[in-house]
Amino acid sequence: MSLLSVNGLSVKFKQRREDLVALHDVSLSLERGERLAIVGESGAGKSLLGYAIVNLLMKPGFIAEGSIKLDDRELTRLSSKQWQEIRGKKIAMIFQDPMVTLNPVLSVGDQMVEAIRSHTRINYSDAKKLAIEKLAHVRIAAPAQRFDQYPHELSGGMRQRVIIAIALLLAPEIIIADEPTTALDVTIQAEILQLLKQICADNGVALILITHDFGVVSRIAERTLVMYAGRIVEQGPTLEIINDPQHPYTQGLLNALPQMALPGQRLNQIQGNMPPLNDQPSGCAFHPRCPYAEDKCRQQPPNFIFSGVSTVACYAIEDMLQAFEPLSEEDADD
Amino acid sequence: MNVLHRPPVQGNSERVTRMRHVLVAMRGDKLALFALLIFAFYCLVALLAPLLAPYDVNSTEFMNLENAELAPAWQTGDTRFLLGTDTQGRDLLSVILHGTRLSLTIGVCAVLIQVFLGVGIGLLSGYMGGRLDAFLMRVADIQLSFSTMMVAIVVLAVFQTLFGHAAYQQLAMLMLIIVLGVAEWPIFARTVRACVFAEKEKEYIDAARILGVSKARIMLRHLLPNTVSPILVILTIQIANAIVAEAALSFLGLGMPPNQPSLGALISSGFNYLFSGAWWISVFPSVTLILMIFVMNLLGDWLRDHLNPQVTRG
Amino acid sequence: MTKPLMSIRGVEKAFRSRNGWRWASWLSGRTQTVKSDQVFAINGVDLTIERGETLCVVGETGCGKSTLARLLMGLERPDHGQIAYLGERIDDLSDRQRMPYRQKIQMVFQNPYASLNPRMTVYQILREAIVLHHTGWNRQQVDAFIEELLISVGLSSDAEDRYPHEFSGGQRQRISIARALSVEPDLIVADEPLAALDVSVQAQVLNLMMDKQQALGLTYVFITHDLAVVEHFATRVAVMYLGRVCEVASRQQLFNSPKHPYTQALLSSIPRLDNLALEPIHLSGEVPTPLEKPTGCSFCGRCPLVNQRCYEQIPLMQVQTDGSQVACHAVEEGRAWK
Repeated sequence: MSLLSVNGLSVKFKQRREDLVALHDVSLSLERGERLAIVGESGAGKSLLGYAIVNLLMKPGFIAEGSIKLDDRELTRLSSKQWQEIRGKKIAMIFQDPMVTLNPVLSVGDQMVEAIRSHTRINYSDAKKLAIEKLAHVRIAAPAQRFDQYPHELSGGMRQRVIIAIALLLAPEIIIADEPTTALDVTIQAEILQLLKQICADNGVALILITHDFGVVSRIAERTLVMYAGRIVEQGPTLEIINDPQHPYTQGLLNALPQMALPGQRLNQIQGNMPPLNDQPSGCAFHPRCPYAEDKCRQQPPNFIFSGVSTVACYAIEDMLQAFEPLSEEDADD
Repeated sequence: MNVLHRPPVQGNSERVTRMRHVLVAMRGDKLALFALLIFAFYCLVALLAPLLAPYDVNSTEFMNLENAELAPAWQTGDTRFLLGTDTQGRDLLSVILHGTRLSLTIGVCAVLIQVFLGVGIGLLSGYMGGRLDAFLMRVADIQLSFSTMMVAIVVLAVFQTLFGHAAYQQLAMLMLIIVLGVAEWPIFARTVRACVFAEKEKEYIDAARILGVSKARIMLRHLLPNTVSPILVILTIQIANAIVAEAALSFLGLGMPPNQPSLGALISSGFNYLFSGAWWISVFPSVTLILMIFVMNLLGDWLRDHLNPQVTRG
Repeated sequence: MTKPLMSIRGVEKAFRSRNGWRWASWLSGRTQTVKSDQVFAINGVDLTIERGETLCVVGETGCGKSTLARLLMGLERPDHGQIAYLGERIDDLSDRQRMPYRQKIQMVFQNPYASLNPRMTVYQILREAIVLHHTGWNRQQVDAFIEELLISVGLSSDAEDRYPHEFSGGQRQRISIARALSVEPDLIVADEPLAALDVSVQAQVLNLMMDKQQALGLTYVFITHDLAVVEHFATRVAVMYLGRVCEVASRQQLFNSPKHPYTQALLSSIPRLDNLALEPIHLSGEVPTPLEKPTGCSFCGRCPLVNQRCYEQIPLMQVQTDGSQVACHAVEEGRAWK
C-alpha cells in the first residue's frame, strides 16, 4: 500500500461564469521513503498540486473531485483542525524563497520551538534541545549559536537549511519541497540537494520535489512525473525519462536544454506557449505544439499507457506500440 | 492574461484602458456603484445649483426676516420652503445647494493646487534623489509638522486683521483655496516620491536611460503615468479632507462669510439654534456634508483596492 | 590586431549600503564617508571585448557581474579605472557627450516584467528609441521600421498597439530585444535575459539572439549564472568571484580544463544530464558580502587550496600555456588538489 495516493484529483478556480480547471484528473502515488519529482514549466500546475495535497489552496481554488489518501485515511474531507495535525506532523512543506518563509521578527530558535510546541506537549528546554539537534542534523555549524540568531543574520543557503530543519522537527513522513533551490546559487544548490537526499535516506522520509529543472531532478529523484497544462503527461523512473523521454513534450523540454545541442548551434525549441487556463485546447492539451499531432489528438484526450520505459498519455506512443504488437490485445478483446 | 482582441487605439489609449478597467470592476460592486452615483449626483447639483435652487440667492428679496426660522414643509405645511428657512429667512434648500457648490469648488481647487505642487515636487525629489531630495523632503516635513488647521487659522486670522473684514469677505474663497492647497501638498509629494523610488529601480527606467531619454521625459512620460493610481486614490480622499477643513474653518468663523455660506458656515450659523427648536438649520447641511464625505471616502477606498492593475490583472 | 571593441581597465566600484540620512552629513558639513557602510562590488576588473564575439560573464549572486553591466552601460560611473569604446574613453562623459555611444551599446534586462513600461504600448516603446537616434526620419519610415523590427524578432506586426502585460514572458523578452536592436547597436549587454523564463522559452529567446548575432554581426556580453547556457553560447568566458575576474578563457578551454579552483567547483556544481554520476566539489561556506576591500585573493575564504600567500597578496592575471588567463597563486605555484 502506498503512503500517499492521489486519485482523479481535479482543482478548479471559482469564476463568475464558469470555473477554470487548473488540475485535470491527476493521480499519483508515493511510497514510503521514495523521492518523487514533479517537473513542469510555470503554469503547468505543479505547485498547485503540492498545495492541494496539503490543503493550502488559495481562495478561488478548490478541490472539485478526487481523493487524497495518506495511509488509507481520506484527507479531502478533513476539518481545518484535523489538517493542523497532518501538516507538520505527517506532511511538511518547504517553499521556494527562504527569504519570506521565515518570520523576520522571531529568532530561528523561537520559530522552531513554536512549531514543536504547537503540536506536542513538551517543555521549552526539551523543545530547544530537539531544535538544536535538528539544526545540527542539517549540518549547520555551531547550532546552539544559530538558535538565537534572526533570519536576516543568515545567508540564503543557511536559511534554507533552517527551513529544512523546521520541516524535520516533527518527524514527518512526507516532505513537499516547492522549488527549494531556485533562489540559491549553483554551488549552494548542490549542497542543499545533497542534504535533502541524505536526510530523506536517513529518516525514511518520502520527498515530493517540485521543480522546473531537470538538472535538479537528475540529482535527487528516483521517480519523475512530468506535468503540462494541469495534466500529468508522463511518469516513470528518473533516469529512464531523462535518457529516453517518451512524451513529445518531455522530449521537447529536454531537447531545449542548451547541453542537448552542439555549442553554437540553434537549440531545438518547442514552438508556442503553454495554453492559459481560460483557453484550453480540446483533446490532448499539447496538440497545438506537438509535431506528431493528428486528428484524434484534437478530439479526445489520450489515456495512460505503459510504453516499456514510462507511463505516458500520448496517441503517438500508443500507435507506435500497436504497430509493434498489433495482435495480442485485439485477440483478447474478441 | 490575454485581453480580448481590441481594435487599435490611437493617441491617448492608456487612459481608455485604465478607465474601462475601473468601470468594468465598478459594475460588479454595488456599494461602489452606489457611492459613485451619489457622488455624481453631488457634482451635478453643484454644477446646476443656480438652476435647481427654488430661489435666486442673489436677489434682494431672498433674505426676508419675516420668514425666519420656519420649520420644514412637512411640519408647517408651508410648501414655499421645503426644508424650512434659516435665521435670516433664507430658503434652506437653496442655500444648501449653493453651499454644496461652494464647498466642492473649494475642495477641488485646493486639491488641484496640492496635486500640482505635490506631484511636481514628488517627481523631482524622487527621481533626482540626493541633496535636492533631502532638501525638499525636509521642507515637506516642516510643512506637515504644522497642522493644516493651525496654519489656516493663523493665515486667515492675520489676513482678516491686516486687510479688514470687507477685503476678506471678497477674497475669502481664493484665500481658503490657496491656504488649503499649500498646506497639504506634502501628502502628494511623499506618495509620489515613494512611488517614484519604487518605479525608478525597475529596469524600464534603466532601459530609457540607456537609450538616452532625457530626464524630463523620463519623469513625465515614464514615471508619472505609473504613479497615477495612488494619486487618484489620495485625490478623492484629499478632496473630502479639504471640504471638511473648509467646513471646520467656516464653523470657526474663519471660512466663508455668512452672505455666501458654504456647508460649514451654514452648520455654524444654525448651531446656536440647535437646542432652541430650530434644529433643521444645522442638521440638513450637516447631513449633506456627512453623506458627501462618506461617499468620497468610500470611493477612495474602493479605488485603492481596484486601481492597481498589477494586482488585479495577476 | 585591431583595437578591441570595448576595454575595461582596473575598474572599481563601491556602493554605499545605506543611502538614507546622507543629508545629515551634508547639513553638518561632514563629507568623508564611513568605511563600513560600503559594499565593494567591483575591485579591479580588466576585460576586453572583441568585435563579433560572445563574452559570457559567469558568477554567483553578489559577484559583481550585474554591476559590471551597469558600468558598461554608463548607468553607474566607476570609482577608479577606465572604460573605453574603440579606444576612446567613455566612462567620464556627460549625458550629452555619451549620446552617440548609447546608440552603439544596448542592453537586454533580466526581468521581462519590469523592463517594459507597463503604461506604454509596444509601438510607443519602440518609437521612443527610434526617434531619439534617427532624428531625420519621418513618421512613415519610423512606422515601417517598427513593423519590420517586430517581425524580425518573431512577433506579428499587430503587436504594436498592445501593452506589455498582454504578452508572455518570452514575448516580452522579444520586445526588449527589438528595443535594443531598434537603434542598430554594435554591442548588446544581456543581463541574465533567460533567468526569468521557462526552459522551452529560454531556447526560443536564445535562438533568436544567435540568429540576430549572425545576421547583424552583433557582439554580446552575456551575463549569466547558468553554465549550460554559457557552454552553448559563449565564444569566451570570464568567471567572476566577489568583484574580481578569476579566469578568462575560451569556451573549450574553460570547460575542458578549468584552472581556477573556483571555476572547477562551479563547473562541478551544475547538474549534467549527460554525466549523471558526476559528484559536485563542495566548497565550504557561502559567498560573503564584500564589506571590506579584500587584501588578498577574493576567493581565499572558501578555497580548498588556500595558503598564507593567498590572504596577503592579490593574485594577478597570468596567461597560461593554452592561452587562458587565470588569477590564482595556487595555479601559479602548481598546488594540487587534496
